Amino acid sequence: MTARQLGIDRETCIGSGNCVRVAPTVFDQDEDGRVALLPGGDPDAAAADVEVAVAGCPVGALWWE
Amino acid sequence: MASIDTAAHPEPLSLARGEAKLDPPAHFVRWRSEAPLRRITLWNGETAWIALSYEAVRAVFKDSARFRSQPTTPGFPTINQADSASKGAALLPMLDPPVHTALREAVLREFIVKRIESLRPEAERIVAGLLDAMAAAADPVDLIAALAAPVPATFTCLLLGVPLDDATFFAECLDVRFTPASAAEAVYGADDRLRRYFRDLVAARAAQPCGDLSSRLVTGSVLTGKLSAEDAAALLHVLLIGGFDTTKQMIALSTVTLLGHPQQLAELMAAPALWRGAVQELLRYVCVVQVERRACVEDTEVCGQLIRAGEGVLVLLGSANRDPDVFVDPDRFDIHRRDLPHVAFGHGIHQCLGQPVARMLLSVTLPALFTRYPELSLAAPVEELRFREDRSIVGVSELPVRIRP
Repeated sequence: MTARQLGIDRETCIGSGNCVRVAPTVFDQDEDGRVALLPGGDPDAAAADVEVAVAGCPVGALWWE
Repeated sequence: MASIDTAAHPEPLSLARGEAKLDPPAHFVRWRSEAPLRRITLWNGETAWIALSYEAVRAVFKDSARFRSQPTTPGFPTINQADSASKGAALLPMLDPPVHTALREAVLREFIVKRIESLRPEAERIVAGLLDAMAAAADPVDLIAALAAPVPATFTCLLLGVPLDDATFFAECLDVRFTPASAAEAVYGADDRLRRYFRDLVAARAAQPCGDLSSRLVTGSVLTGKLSAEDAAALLHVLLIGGFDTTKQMIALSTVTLLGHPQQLAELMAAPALWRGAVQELLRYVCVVQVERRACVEDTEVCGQLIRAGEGVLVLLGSANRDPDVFVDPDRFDIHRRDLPHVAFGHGIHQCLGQPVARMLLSVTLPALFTRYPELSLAAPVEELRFREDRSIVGVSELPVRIRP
C-alpha cells in the first residue's frame, strides 16, 4: 500500500478557512488567505481531521489519495 | 417522480414551522423522503425547484457555472416582495465569476482564520461590556436587544472602522430591506441610503486612510486601480449585511437550543474545550439561513433530476443539514457529533466569507453569557416565541429571558 498524497489547488481555493479550522496541524492559510500545507505537517497523524477537511472543502480544492 | 415534477400547479413553498420551532418546516421531511429535488410554486405564482437533500444542495452550490447567483439571470427565483424588489442590487453573493472572484479576492485576506482569531480579545471586551450592562436590567431581559443584536453590530462597526453609533442607522436600513412585505420603494430607499453611506466611506478613506479594513480595501484595491470605488463600496455594504442579522439570530437561537439541552450545557461549562464542536453543531442544528437562490443556465442533471436552463432553484440549507443519509439521528442536537460538514454557511464559491467571524463571535459570546448568568432561563416557553418564518433568515424579534433565579 502506497502512502496517500495530500494535494491542494491554490487556484481553486476560495480561502474559506475550513481546512485550517478542522485540521490545523496540517493546513495553513498564506497571507492572501489561500490554503498552504504546514511544513512538517503529518496528515496521517491527523487522518480523521484531514478527511473531514477534504470532504468539507467548499470548492474541492483538496484531495488525499 | 413524474407526478411530482410535471404537475401543472405544484404545492406552494411554505416556510412555516411546526411545533418544534428549532426544526425546519415539518413538511420538508416528507418532501425530502420523496425526492431530493421538487417543483414548488413561489409567492408570485411562478414555479421553481427546491433542493432538499444534502447531496442535491451541495451539487447545486458547487456547480456555480450552471447555477448562477446573479438575480437578473432568467428564471431567478425570489421568496417574497422585498426579495423581488432588491433584484437589481449587485452585491457579492449575487455576482458570478469573474466579477465575483475579483471582488472576493480583494477582501479575502481580511478573513483569514488567524487574523479574525487575533480579534478575539476585542470581541471579549464587547461581550463583557454588554453582559455588565444586562446586570442593571430587571427581569425579563430581551436578549436580542441586550446581547444578540449589539455583539455583531458592534464588532462589524469595529471591523469596518466606522463609528459604533452608526449601528442604529444600519439596523434601520436592514430592517426595511429584509422585511418581507416592504414595498419596492422602501427597499430601494434603504438600499440607496446604505449605498450612499458606503460610497461616502470609500471617498473618506481614499482622502485619509486610517488603518482599518475599509482603508486597506481602498488603498489596496481602489487606489491601485484593481477595483472601482463603486465596487469597494458594494463590498463594504455586503460585509455589513452578511454578519448583522445572521449572527444576531445565531446567538439568540443557540441560547434557546442550549437552554433546551441542560445536560449538554453542563458538559460545556465543565469542559470548555467542547465549545468548538458545540458551535459547529449549533450552526448545523439552528441553520439561520433557510434559503439561497440560484438560476440554471444550462440543462443539468442533479441527483437524477433534469433541471432546465431558465429554471430557478431554491436551495434549502436547513433541510440538507437534517438529511438522515448524512447526519445520524439528524433532529437530535449533539455537541459530540462527528458527521460530515454542515452547509449552514453554504458551499461552493459563495460559501460565507465571514464564517471565521461568526464562529469566533459565537464561541466568545455563548460561554461568557452562561458563565456570567448561570441561572439564565427563558422567560416564556419556546412554543410562545414569535418566529419570523417567512424570510430567508429565520429568527425571533424578541427573546425574553430571566438572568436571576
